[in-house]
Amino acid sequence: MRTKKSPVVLKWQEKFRRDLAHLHHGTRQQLEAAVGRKQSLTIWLGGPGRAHRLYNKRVLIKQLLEAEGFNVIISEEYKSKINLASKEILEYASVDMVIILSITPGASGEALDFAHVRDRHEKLFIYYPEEYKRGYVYQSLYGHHRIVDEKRIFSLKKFKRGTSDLPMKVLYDAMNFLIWQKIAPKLRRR
Amino acid sequence: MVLRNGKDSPVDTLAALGVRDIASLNVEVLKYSPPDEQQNALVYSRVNQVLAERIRRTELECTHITGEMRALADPHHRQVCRKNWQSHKRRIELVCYLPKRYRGKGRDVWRWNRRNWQHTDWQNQLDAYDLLGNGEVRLFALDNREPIHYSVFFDRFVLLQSKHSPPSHTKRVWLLESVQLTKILREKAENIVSRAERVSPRLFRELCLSLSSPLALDCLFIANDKGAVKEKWLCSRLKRFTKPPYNFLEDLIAVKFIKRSNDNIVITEAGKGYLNLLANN
Repeated sequence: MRTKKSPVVLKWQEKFRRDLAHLHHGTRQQLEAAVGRKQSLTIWLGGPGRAHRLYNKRVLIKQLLEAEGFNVIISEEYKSKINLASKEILEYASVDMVIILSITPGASGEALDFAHVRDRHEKLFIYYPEEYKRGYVYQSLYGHHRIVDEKRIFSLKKFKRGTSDLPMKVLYDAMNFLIWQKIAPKLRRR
Repeated sequence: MVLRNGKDSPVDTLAALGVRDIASLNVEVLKYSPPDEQQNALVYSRVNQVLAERIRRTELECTHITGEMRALADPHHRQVCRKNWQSHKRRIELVCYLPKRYRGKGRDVWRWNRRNWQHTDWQNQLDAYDLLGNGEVRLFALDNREPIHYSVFFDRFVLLQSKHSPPSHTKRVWLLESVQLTKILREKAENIVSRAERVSPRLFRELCLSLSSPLALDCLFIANDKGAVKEKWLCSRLKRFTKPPYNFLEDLIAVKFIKRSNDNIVITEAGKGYLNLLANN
């Protein structure tokens, strides 16, 4: 389901384009080479649910990724007769990248559930608010499961204000995923 | 074939593993190598052939009890692991000795592997990390090195190595066939797995992503153009895109794609090789 592009998303895209212009032309070439693969990458985007005031920000990030050519799924947009947790486990298996904005109790629950199964770690990307780093969930995700990387910590305060920090992290990670997908097969050619 | 004692016999090594009454286990030696690296390689090659043939028909259940996970340094064995996952969605399990202080980040494991994978270049090592990062091999780490290393495949094959210690890795190697022996050693292997710590695929995935991140590539391209670039200048340029710390710089240094030389960042031959790889279609 694609929605009309918001001015916020346009602003984020402009920021991304300005950043790209400052990169070395070799880096831009690698990004462009990865561009053709975007449609083959499906991203599952978890985060604040419909009832939460930050749900619209999650949708904006979805719009940004779609505007840059990725396929994005938000589970709430697809009805199912089975319970939400079981539905999401099934969806997890069918996508390439699972992104969770671990902002709310529900999203943190998802992150912990998925983190418990180490066989699923390779596609799981958890973004965590710096404001909650002292809490149980972060200690578990970072210290025990080792699934949160420092580069995916963001300021929730700034995110609420609509800054581009978190959306850029997510977009760069998606691009990075594509670049690696292009490099990996070359390692096997001798 | 009745196994006898002798310098070429696996009997003593099996006894050291606690396997009793070996004569009754109907063990056949399919291939043997004396303590010689080239001859060892011939046995490994035969193992991979056997596995590749059988994987076409049936999924491979395989556990490796290793020292320094060097089974993954073998590109042919990595191919077998990938084929097993692609065809049967089945993961191979590998137990290794990996001290705790090397389990924090992918670059720490890289440094540990470099000490023990002397004949492996960066391309092979990075490919092994891609395999691990995809979760196609389940990696487990022990705090201490197992004295005897072996692998069990399907329901009937064992790859056995005589006791050996790094850095030499010189050992006798046997490829054995025996359903009873495989069953016994598989149980022992499962016990070892149960007391080992699972190493998350994320460690390897993050390192691969770090080395291929737009900013890491940017640093490599700039260092390649300029020969040497002041680290301060590079970091001030990076601030436009992200805040420090710049862990990807440390990753590039750990895998020796770049190095620090006084205040400068300098690209290495391996780093240039990596950029050449990116340029190839």
